Amino acid sequence: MNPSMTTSRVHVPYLATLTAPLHHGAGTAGNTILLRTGPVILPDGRVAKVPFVSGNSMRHLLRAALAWHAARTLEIPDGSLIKPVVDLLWSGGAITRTGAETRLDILRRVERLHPPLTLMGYSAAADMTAGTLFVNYLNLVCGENQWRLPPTARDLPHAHKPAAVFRGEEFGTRHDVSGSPVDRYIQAVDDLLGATSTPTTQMIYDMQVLIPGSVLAGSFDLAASATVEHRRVLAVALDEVMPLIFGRRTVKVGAKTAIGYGVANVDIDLSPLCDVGEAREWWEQHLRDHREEILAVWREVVA
Amino acid sequence: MSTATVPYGTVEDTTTDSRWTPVTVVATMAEAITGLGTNPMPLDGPLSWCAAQAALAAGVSLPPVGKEWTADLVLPLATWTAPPSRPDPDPRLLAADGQRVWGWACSRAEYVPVAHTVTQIRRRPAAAEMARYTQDRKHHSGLGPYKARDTTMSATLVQEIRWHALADWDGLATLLEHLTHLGRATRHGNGRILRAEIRPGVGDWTIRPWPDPNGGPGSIRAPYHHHTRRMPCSSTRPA
Repeated sequence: MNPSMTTSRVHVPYLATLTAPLHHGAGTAGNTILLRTGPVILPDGRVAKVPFVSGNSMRHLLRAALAWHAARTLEIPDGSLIKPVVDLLWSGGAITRTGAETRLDILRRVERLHPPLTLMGYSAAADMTAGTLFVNYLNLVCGENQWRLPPTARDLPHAHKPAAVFRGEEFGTRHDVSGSPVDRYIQAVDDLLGATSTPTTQMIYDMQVLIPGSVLAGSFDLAASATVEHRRVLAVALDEVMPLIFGRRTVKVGAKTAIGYGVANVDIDLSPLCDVGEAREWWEQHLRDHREEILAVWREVVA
Repeated sequence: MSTATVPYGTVEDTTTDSRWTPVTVVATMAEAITGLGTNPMPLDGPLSWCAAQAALAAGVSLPPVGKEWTADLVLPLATWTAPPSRPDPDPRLLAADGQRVWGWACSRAEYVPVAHTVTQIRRRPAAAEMARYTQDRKHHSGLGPYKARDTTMSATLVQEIRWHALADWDGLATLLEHLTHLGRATRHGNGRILRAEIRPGVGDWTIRPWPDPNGGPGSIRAPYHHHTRRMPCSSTRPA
């Protein structure tokens, strides 16, 4: 299979409506984990700071999804990869040596065998290859952002309210066993062994969030130099991170998704890319058909 | 030689040619531009990237960007010539007369900075995945090429970027279709352009880096990052 070119760039917008609080961290102040905010110029020239989810964060979701999908489809045995390959697939790799030659032959083979790398961009050995995918910021639908929102978001009632309306705070606790049956059990052991009990302390922490019901607008741009294979692989990546659940696409973005944060319903039309079902079928078949070649090229590219 | 690239030694000064129209390109920005403060960003820089996209999409095979040299892509802009500001310019930088160097007739980016901020790009090492898929005993998150990184880069918040140029209107419009972002770290959404439009020219395209033996470090034409384009430059247009 040789990569085939498309003829124009593709813009894929989407809206994410939070069904759980969203946290995207920007350090701490005391016990509070701060929400990341970024400056935006208002139409009157003043500058406001509004919460957002970085393109960097969204991009990693896609890269990691493609890596896990490949590992799953290829049935990669545990302990069978080298560290540079894992770093290449999940983090985009790193420059590990200097060199004046660009290895065009390897680049062509990567393009043919494993297009996720050239879609997302990667660094390996002395080469740095830019991807064809631009992952844009996920901006809050609010008054401050109204001027830069897509038409579908600009008319929502959210777009006429200040960002502060959508900010909230959540808290978490670490369960304190002091005085509980667990504590008495530990005490019994301590008494038996003559050890000194470690006093436990209740921990409470809180984090700034965007509240459920907030809407965020994001988009992806695929450059015109992207191949048909890039489009298909991007569709699979989006299908992985935004799976259909009860007929709606759902995504988990930001931090603390393991404890239920950052869940959102997504309105996205993937048809400008390709047919998702066909893309998935093609990509999984390609992975299985070229398993050994793909495993070899991963090793070769980081060598 | 591809029709998408400029043949060596064929370029002349066409700034007085009537086929070029004075234009102003206005890009309305949706996000801050990373690295704008250290980059004059003349229009031919981003336009050259657009030309590469257009050529690749049309199935044109472009010569690879090499460490030694990279080809000049054809742009819908007039060309200027000027004496080189270093004694040993690469012959491929020279115009048709074999004496002067050449560049594209477009200004540097013109803008009013509203605020200065930073772009942060975080890279979390894939430690959990390494634990599963490798046999390494350790991973040091603070050392080596696979360490965790939090890269901070300067960024500038602007409402609009303007460029002035002598251009072919339709050709320019076609290339600008490909321009979605400006600056560095654009694959992460930085420097996103909300819209770009062409207006009748209202400014001076000569406000740009020019070769000047008494100037500072600079580059004369796209791709500006490539070392072969570098030579002392200032904002003074030579005779």
